[in-house]
Amino acid sequence: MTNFDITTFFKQFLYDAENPLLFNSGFFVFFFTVFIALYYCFRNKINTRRYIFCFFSLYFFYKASNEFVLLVVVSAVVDFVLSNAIYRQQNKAKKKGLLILSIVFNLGMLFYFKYTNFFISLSNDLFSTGFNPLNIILPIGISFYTFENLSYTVDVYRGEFKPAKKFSDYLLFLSFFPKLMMGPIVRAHDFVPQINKPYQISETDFAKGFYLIVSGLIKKLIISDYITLNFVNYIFDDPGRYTGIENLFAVYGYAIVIYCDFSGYSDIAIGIARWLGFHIPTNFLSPYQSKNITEFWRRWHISLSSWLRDYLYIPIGGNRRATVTTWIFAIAFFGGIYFMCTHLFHLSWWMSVLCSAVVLLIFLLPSIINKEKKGVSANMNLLTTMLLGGFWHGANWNFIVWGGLHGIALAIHKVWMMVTGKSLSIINKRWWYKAIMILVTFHFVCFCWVFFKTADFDETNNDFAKALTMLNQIWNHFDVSVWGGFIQNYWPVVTMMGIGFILHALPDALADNVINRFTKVPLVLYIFTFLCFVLLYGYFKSSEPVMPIYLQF
Amino acid sequence: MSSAKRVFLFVVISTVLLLLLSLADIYFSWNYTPLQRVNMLADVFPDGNKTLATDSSEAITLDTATTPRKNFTTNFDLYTQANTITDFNADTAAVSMEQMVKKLHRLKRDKKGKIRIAFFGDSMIEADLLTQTLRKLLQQYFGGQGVGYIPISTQTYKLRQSVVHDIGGNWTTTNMKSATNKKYMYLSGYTYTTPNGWIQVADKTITDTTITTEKILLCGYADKPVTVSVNGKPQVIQANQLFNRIVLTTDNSNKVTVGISNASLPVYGIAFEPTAGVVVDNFSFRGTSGELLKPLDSTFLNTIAKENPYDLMVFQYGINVMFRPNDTKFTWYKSIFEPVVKKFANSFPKSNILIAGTADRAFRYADGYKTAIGIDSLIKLQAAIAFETGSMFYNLYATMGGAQTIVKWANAKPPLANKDYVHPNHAGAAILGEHFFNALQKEYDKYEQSLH
Repeated sequence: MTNFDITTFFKQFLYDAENPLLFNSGFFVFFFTVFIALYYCFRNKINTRRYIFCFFSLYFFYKASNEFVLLVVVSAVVDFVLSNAIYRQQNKAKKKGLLILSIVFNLGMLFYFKYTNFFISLSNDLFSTGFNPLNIILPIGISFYTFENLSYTVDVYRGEFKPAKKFSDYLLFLSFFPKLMMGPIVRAHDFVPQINKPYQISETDFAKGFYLIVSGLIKKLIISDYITLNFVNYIFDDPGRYTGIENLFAVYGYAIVIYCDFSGYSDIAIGIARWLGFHIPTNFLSPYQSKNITEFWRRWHISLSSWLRDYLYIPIGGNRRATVTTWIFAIAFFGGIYFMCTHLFHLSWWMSVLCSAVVLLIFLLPSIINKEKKGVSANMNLLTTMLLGGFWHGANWNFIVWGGLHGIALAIHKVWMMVTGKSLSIINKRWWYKAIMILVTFHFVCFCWVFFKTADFDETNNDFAKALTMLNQIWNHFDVSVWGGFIQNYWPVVTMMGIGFILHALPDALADNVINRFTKVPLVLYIFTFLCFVLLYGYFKSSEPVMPIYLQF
Repeated sequence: MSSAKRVFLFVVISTVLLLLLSLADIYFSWNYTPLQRVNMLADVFPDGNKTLATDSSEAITLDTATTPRKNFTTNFDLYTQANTITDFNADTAAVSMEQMVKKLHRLKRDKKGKIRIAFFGDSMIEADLLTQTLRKLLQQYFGGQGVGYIPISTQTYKLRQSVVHDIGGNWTTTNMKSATNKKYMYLSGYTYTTPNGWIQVADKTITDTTITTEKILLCGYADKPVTVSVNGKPQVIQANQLFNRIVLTTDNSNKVTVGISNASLPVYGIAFEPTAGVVVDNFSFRGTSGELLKPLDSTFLNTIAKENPYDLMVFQYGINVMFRPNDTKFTWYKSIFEPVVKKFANSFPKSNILIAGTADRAFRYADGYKTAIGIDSLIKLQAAIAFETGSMFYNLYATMGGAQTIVKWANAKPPLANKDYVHPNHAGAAILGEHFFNALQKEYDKYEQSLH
């Protein structure tokens, strides 16, 4: 046994770039315990409780991202002042002016931190401007809280919501630590009214919160991390070295990894919130059970897709009309397809025009079939939304391609429904038809993940080439003969993937049914389960790594 | 009653229990790894629960009696030096690889003759990694162009950046792992046959088309003359030796297309070589540690030595020897690799042999990705093999930066290595190639200075 190191002890309270605070940090356990103790003691003193919450949220942010905590505070001040001004302002033009100011401020901040270098390199490529990329670090969570700020001011402008009177209400809405880093994106009109309610939670809240937190931790820390570290990272890093079968399994693996990672984080956030008396709507609904791509977007990252619908798709015209934005993005998109055909696939100009025309036709077909003009704008608006939605994920062409592919798929699904809606009405309720559709949708989503994952936020890397190498390996060098060797080496990973998919395949309501069936479970059992989880986590953290091998010579 | 109290109690009790478990783990030194990994007090009780193996060294006794040495005092410990090719001569001012360096000197002075380097390795040098940089730098300095040996096909032949490579027809590939008769598999470990195949290669390293390069077919024995097609024209070749090096054409082009329609001719590959200058052949074979070269027939190797007289043979292995994270003893490797080195030393009497120690490789240990704990032990063993076989040694690990280099490389932005913490990527391999060139250059400079 060694001595207690007092200096290290005090250093634990400061930001450490090597170990930023995460839900799985040991420090978080202490942080949360102290927080919950204070929160519980002052549960009936609404103001004190709120200040405590604000302080801990900001401290959490500081421990996670150092000085960028100031950015949250500044943006909270600006948006709080602006939203109140918008609310009080009677003059319509001035009201709009204030809204634009808020949008410019928020998007400007997001643009500066997230997209500056992307556009610098774009400008260098197109116009040989030779600008040097800036040394900008992306502040954690900025994509999430910027969107929350925007929805807040827009809601106030639309008169759907009365702005928070107290600054601390607004600050807490923005900095609420469980969801600060990876969402879900919450809406002020859902969230703010819950801040000053008496702290009372039911036994179901406790049980569901526990379930969400532990299952979220298992998804994120055990399943996702294990598959990433022992398989997915190897293959995605250098797909050309591996056979098609390994590449395909890496894509399946990544599909489960991104789901477990993202929905795991959301579940933890929602679970913690639930324990603190806040209801945040669910963010993922077993998305890979979707029978078509439209359904997928109703089940995947729901808080983002509904945000995009309310604050992007509808304002740019929705399914009613087209605006300037619609046409700018539509033209850029079809120009982009032409450019991709000529430069990336080296097609002749007329083949490229043909390809672009075929894609355009997909978007026009519904209107041609229905003989109405409005459908064109709706489709183009949806496409714009998907492109920008893709870009929101990161400043990289791969994300735009990912968004574009989903946009095209949504349009194709629309056409498919129109063409087959009646003729397939007899079979489309059958289980086997549903199974086929689930498989088709899943594989399309996986195909898009290839582009998503190969974007590694580094503009010096040719990410697109990596995605194409991967697809080429799967298509041209599949090699079933290595299956035996593959399973022999990677069986722990494949088992883990299997567990991930089984968990995902469980019916959505199962957990709720189980929780409702049991009345009060003794606290000891909860504690025991939690400690078992901690040891399980320790076991997987210390397990011997699965090493990549070469299956073919 | 509101369940808020249960939340409070759950959190406080769980934390207290975790704290007690963590304290007990430190106090009683339980050594139960899963618990150590979640020990919440590990940071404030430093060194309380280190899990690294304590004894990573292995007693290696050097067999100096049988060591074929020239007349100089040896110093084995020189193997630890970075950026150095050592022949263990205690006098570090003396030139190692004298034979080869002298030849380089003549090449630079007279612009005549060829220097041939065979670079053996595993997946780390696959697709011409490391060697493409080494070749470029050597040819820039000493002259010559041409990419050297090109296998007909490997898993990654499309990813090789130094050539544009395409094949067609039916090729049958046999390799050192799958073949039943491994005697005549060639240095690459591969043999190909075809009744109707073709290969087309454009050498991207050839930039100066005013200089001619030889396009060479490397093949095994055929009892009758064989007709091959070279750039569409038929050509009859005699492949009557165990190993044949047949110059198909010497021209200014950077491209050649060879068609073969004789399934009894063992084809080893083709080569682009300068008429004068440096040739660097890349012989990579996945997953090997060099042991796969052992079954090659001695007479066959002698014929290769005659036809393709190598001045330097580099054996760069090691990452596949350390294939398990906790291995620290590798004497088994010495018993399988040393005979290979001896065999090559006998079969290629005019070559200098250089053993490059393993590159850095990391595993995920309890406290994150760390350099393999047995690496020092392996490098010492590799150096001992070099010492005992009269070969030279190059400490690649120390040269690239020592412990944790591969972790830094994999996490760098832009990255220099893959996330398997084993393979340097193109950018990383280019650095390794440059280091290697610099080490050769250092010996060359020593020789140049000794002349003045």
